[in-house]
Amino acid sequence: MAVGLVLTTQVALAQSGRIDGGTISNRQNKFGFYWETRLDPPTPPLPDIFTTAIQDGAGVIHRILLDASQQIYVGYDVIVKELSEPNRYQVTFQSLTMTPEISSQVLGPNPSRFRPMATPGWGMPAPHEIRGGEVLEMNLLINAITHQRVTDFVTVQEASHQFSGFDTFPDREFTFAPGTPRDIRVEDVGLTIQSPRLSINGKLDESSAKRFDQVSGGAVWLYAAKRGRFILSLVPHPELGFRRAGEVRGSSLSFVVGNDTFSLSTGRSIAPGQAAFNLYVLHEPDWKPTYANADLGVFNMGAADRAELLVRKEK
Amino acid sequence: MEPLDEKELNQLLQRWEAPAAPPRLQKKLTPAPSPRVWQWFLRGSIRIPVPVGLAVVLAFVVWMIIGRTPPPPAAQPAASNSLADFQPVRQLEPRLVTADEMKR
Repeated sequence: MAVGLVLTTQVALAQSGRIDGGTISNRQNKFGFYWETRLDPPTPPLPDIFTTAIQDGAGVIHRILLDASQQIYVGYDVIVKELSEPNRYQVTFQSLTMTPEISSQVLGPNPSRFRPMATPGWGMPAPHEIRGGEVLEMNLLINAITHQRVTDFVTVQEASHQFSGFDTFPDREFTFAPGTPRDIRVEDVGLTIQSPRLSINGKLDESSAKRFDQVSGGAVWLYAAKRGRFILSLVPHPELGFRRAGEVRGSSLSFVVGNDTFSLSTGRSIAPGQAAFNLYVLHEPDWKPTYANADLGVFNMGAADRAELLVRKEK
Repeated sequence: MEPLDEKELNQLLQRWEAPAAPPRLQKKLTPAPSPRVWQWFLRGSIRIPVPVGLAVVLAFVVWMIIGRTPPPPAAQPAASNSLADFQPVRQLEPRLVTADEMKR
């Protein structure tokens, strides 16, 4: 019987270089397989991809990229073995296998409506030995028209969720920035929203109290039912229609749009540094989540590397 | 010829008719009727001081130079992709990147 354990995956509402990322720990919680999926170049974005990993009873990890709007998916299997030498692992990639249990977990109650992308050349197992923390880059998909690549960066490290007795530690995360290093720019300074609690005119939006995930990027957005989307940035972006509407103070932020005051209390520092910062906001009152089965009545959030990737012409 | 006395001179003066004024003098003495507004737009003129005229010309030249600067490009719409627009690579070829990236 297949057993699934997904620790951290995010719906890829963010339209950025980083599509998604997550981790899955082995059954003994001795190590974790981490991945980050990136789109290069980041535009045009892939707005509706959902990626996940599920581990079955045999320890095989099934990595799946799913586009619910097109009802299509692709993926691969990966087997990670701990070697006798400390901190060394054997990683083997092979074609995706979809058991009925995995299908029902990932594709829902009617998996036959989804079609897999053909990957005939992915079937030859090729073991790789890596040290803990080393990163493997693996191209998965290519768009011949836009010349974009979807690439997975994967690594094996200690398990994400660690605890000692009654003490638990912050979950370990993995991200990897490929390419040639450059000097930092103001556009690189990002916002991070973790476990947000949204209040509108002092009243808590109860639907936000159920969110414990995190988004980060040069621009983050919040969706509130009947109020649309608010794109937030530390950079003014007047050319995109942003205006100074609020402030960021540590793990809190607030802004005013019209007669409404929006306050966000989060689980960690929102911006780097110790100062208070101006917050620039673009309001899209008609915006609604478009992904399949989206609940329009609840709080939602997302992020992108740059504000330009979020601002749409139809606003 | 006997000189005329005062009475005869008065009679002669009453019979004398002054010549008509020349047309140019009449135009100068008789004000022309005010032109209509549409006529002023066609034939009217405005007298302005030279410094003011030069300033207007200079402002126009500056405006022409600045006005020709192209406006900043508008944000392009974020056209979107779907997974169906992509093709899988022929085969998976994992590459160890950490060491390579650090060497740069």
